[in-house]
Amino acid sequence: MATQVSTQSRRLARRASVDGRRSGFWARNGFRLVVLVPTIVLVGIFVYGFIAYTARVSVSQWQGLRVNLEPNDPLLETYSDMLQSPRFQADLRNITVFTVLFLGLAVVLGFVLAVLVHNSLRARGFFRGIFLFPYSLSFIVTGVVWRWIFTPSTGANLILERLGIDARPGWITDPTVIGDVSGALEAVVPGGEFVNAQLGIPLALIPIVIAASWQLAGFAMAIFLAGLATIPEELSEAASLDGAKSHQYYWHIALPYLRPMLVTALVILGHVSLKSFDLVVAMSGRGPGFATDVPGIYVFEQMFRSLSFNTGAAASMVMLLLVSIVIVPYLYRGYIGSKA
Amino acid sequence: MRLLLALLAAFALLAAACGDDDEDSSASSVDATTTEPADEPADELAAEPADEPADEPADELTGELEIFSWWTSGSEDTALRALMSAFQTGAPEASILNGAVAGGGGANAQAVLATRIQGNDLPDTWQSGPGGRLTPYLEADVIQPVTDVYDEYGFRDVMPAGLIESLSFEGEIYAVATGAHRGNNLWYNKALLEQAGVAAPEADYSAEQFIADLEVLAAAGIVPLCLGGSQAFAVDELFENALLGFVGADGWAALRNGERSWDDPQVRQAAEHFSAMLPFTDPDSSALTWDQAILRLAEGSCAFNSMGDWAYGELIGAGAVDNEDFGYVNHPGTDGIFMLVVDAFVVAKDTPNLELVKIWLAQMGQPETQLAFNLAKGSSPVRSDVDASSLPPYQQEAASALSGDETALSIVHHGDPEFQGVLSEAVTVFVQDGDVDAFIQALANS
Repeated sequence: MATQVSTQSRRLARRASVDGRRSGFWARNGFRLVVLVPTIVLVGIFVYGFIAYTARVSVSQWQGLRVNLEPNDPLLETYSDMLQSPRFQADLRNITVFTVLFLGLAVVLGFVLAVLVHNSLRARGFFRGIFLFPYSLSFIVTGVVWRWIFTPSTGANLILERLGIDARPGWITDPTVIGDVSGALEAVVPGGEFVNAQLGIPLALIPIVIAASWQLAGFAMAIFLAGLATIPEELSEAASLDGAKSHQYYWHIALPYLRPMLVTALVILGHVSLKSFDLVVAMSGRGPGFATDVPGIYVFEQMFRSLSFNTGAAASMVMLLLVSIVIVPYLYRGYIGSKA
Repeated sequence: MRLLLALLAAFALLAAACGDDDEDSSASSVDATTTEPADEPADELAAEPADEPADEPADELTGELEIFSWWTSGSEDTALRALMSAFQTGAPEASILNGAVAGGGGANAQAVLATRIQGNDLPDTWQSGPGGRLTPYLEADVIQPVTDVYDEYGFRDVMPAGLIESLSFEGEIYAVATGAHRGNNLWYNKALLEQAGVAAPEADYSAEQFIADLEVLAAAGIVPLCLGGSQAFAVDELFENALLGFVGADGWAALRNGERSWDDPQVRQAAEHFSAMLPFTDPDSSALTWDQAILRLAEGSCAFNSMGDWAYGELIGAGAVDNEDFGYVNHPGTDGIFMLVVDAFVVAKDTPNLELVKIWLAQMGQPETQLAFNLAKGSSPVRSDVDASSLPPYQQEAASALSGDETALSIVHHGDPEFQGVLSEAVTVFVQDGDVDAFIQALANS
């Protein structure tokens, strides 16, 4: 790609100097600049400009409908108040737990589906379509259905009952947080008393992980399928000649081959997960005791219910930071890779 | 440099992701202050010829009045049309732009409105309410007084003083109310109460008796208390109604205006009472919305529900018969008090259509408009001289209660937006940890 562009511009440059109308820097880079400028300007204003504006709002005193960009005193007061509130701490816990569990489940499920579809002898396209279909639905729509399924007295519990299983889990209504380590943290880490939420796995998040994985595993599958198709036939032939069992083939040959796809799937699903809002809103809202609250809901409520624009902006900056942690290393690696 | 480029690329990718998928775009919602307002379903009504001329129809007035609300569902839309047709009677040559925004019980509309205010692109008149609902507009200086409409049409003589006061600021009135819902109703399923041997509650129903009845119901294997706990407001409202029962109308006003601290023995009692109710709530509650909860009462899967009278329409819609299948009293301890949940329209400060807006408000306050609107909406006319005999029995009772009872202005619906947020978060935490001290402190500190 890069070489194509540079050949083309070299050709353009040669023509320009032959014409004698342009020379030097402009002759070499004029076309590139013309093509790039609109994008740079638009992205500059609508992305970086607004990120900067959000950052500015987050350290301002802006509450209420009147814009007030007067800096807060102390400057980071909004952040420190927010980070100490039990709700936002619970939000950070939830989004971390959710992302880890969801990535694990969706990627494993996606890989298994990809292997099954890849090896199916007939109707491969049909199955691919079936598994990819949930991805095309709106989170709000599927969220409502999943809420019915995970309402204790109406949904999945009826199936359990019919099967003779006596357990009646509370699903999205269960406020329990298991594996709470906040007590241990307080004892060990200096400043641990700032922990105002239970740091563990909120059980009410599990149904949401299941719903999100159901919806996005097909997407992971599509990425893996594309990867599987690029593995040369010779490799699997050689493997079977050498007597490799099929699980050995997938573990030792296919999986290493699919690593770039794995990273891509993790990064794309990861940033979707960190920004999650609509699925959670439709399924459980903030949940019992903020068990399913996420930063996206917090931002919306702070901004448009409480009209605390500075707190909402601060929470948005924290979300941006979280997503950057996932995406920047990926792009950085990609950049290094393309240089080499 | 490489890192910088990678960062830039990361942000570009983010921007693309925010723009095109159906995911949360809250990262971009912070930009909403400067971007275009969201699309709104806008349908124009052609000017209808007036069937019966009003007092003095302003024939010569033309122009377009934009009316902004979140009334889009069936009955709400019918109610809104009643207001619009009253306006057309007063200004036959003018047209209407219906800028209603659907969804989220008004949350979406308020988000759109907040954006439009930042962009200085205001509708001529928009749906608001008393008390804390007016405050942000007053602070932002985007609405204007309509006291002259009240004076000209004698609204002060026929509307409750407490209501007018809640729509006022520094001696001027800023909005006209379309109708009033009562927030402190306790609905009950008659068959279930009978089955458990619980006497139907009377007007003087007390908090202690309520808890005792909940216990009897639970012992009889009946889910005692329905609750739409997936929506924070339903839980907040249960606490609010309990609180009103302990502090009374005067104490309520004192809490609202800050004369009384939230660190108060009666608030503490209310919190303890609220906490005592919680074990009796429907185990499904945090998966239910308020309307699903009231439907459960209608179909007989739970016995009591404390909810505003918008629940009445849901009960009737589900085929339940008033005073046969279900009954209602004021929430325990709140007899003789009407918890106001009010819709009212305000006027943009620099509207070019001031005369049209005044006709809109004047017509809104007329007895026949109040009757038509409230018949559709299920709330009560705010005028004491409206002949309510054509309304359903519940609304007749509520309308007469409104003109006779003391009033209290809901905090959950009409509190200061920031305090509402604090209250709502404190209630959510309190429901889980039951820590009365922390709860009271959270309210008192804000």
